[in-house]
Amino acid sequence: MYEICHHPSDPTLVAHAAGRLSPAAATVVRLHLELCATCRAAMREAEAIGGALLACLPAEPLGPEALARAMRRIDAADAAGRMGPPVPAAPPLTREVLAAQRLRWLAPGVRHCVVLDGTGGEVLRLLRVRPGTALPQHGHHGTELTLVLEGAFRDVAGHYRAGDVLEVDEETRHMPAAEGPTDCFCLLATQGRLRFDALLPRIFGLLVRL
Amino acid sequence: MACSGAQPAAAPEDWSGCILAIARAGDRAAFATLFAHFAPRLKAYFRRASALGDAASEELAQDAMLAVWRKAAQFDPARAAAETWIFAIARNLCIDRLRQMRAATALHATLEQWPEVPEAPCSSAAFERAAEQESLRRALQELPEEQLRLLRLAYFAEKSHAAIAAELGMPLGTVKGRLRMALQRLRGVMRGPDKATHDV
Repeated sequence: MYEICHHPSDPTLVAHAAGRLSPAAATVVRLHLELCATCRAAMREAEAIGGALLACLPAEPLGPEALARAMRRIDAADAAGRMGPPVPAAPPLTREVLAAQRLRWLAPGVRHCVVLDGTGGEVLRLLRVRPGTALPQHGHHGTELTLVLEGAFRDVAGHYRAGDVLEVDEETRHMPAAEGPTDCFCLLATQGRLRFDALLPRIFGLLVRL
Repeated sequence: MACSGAQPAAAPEDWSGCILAIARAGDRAAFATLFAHFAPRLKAYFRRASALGDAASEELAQDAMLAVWRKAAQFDPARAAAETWIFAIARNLCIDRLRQMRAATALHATLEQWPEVPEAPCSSAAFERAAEQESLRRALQELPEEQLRLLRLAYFAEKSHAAIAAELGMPLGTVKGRLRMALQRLRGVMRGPDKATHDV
């Protein structure tokens, strides 16, 4: 398999280890981790740092009988039989689930689908772009994470292939373009709307709420 | 000082041993030892990370300790030190709680729980994890005050890095840069002197 060259930034990995990423961004990072041993190692270290920080936090006084209360809950759980783990609200988004999503036409050569629309303005979307098609030059309101699922695209910073993550922040303006023989299929986590330079895509962005 | 006025009550090896004793024999004395050290710190963690009040944070600390009891059999000292494992439990509880509070409208309201990605464990791994954690703790105490503060905010404050930057009156790039410096230093401690610069 292609060796992954582009990774989420260290601060993003720390935010993930700390549970601080939005569900949209966390999904992108989680799927990258499945493919990237380097970042899994970095993640393990980030969690170890979290553990060390937790063990060193100043203790806060507990209510009276805190331990006795915990013991009673253990007894109650034992009496009720082994309590299973909490049931997740929905099956996690796997690459298979994503590949099965129905995409809608967005622009010539571009189809998309919103997978997750968070209350904080963060959006997770799939984008399928025909080779040679470029997105209009744009900027961002927050951090944008793009994971290549299939195919490839190029950007000012280089070439991105399956498993690679492009992380850009508010200071970056770019115009990514799909390249290679097949469609580029990407998963994008954005915060807030994209900011297009030219008027036409700006109007277009308003219409489709990109 | 990272552990100012709050020296750990037991060595990390003992904490791992406590979790293993719970898994093996439902050892309540071991649970009490873990509870004494971690429950008050878990409460502090939930207060910072979830912005919940005193009572609700203590409830979450109770939930986390109950999860430690119930999941003890899943603990693998070759993969993580005790405090790292407990941190992961607390973090997942916190994600869960925040998600409930926000009640995001989503096609897939994914609970970003942490998949078990198996890394090949080796026989010396448990020892390495414990030693690593010990060095980490020492390194945290030697970290410049500002880097430690940023690190704590990054891990425990219910804020994005941008919000942290705004609160500290620093450019976002500076916050990220200093976070990177702190991480590189701690990684160096974990990996040994030669590999610290291998960065992503």
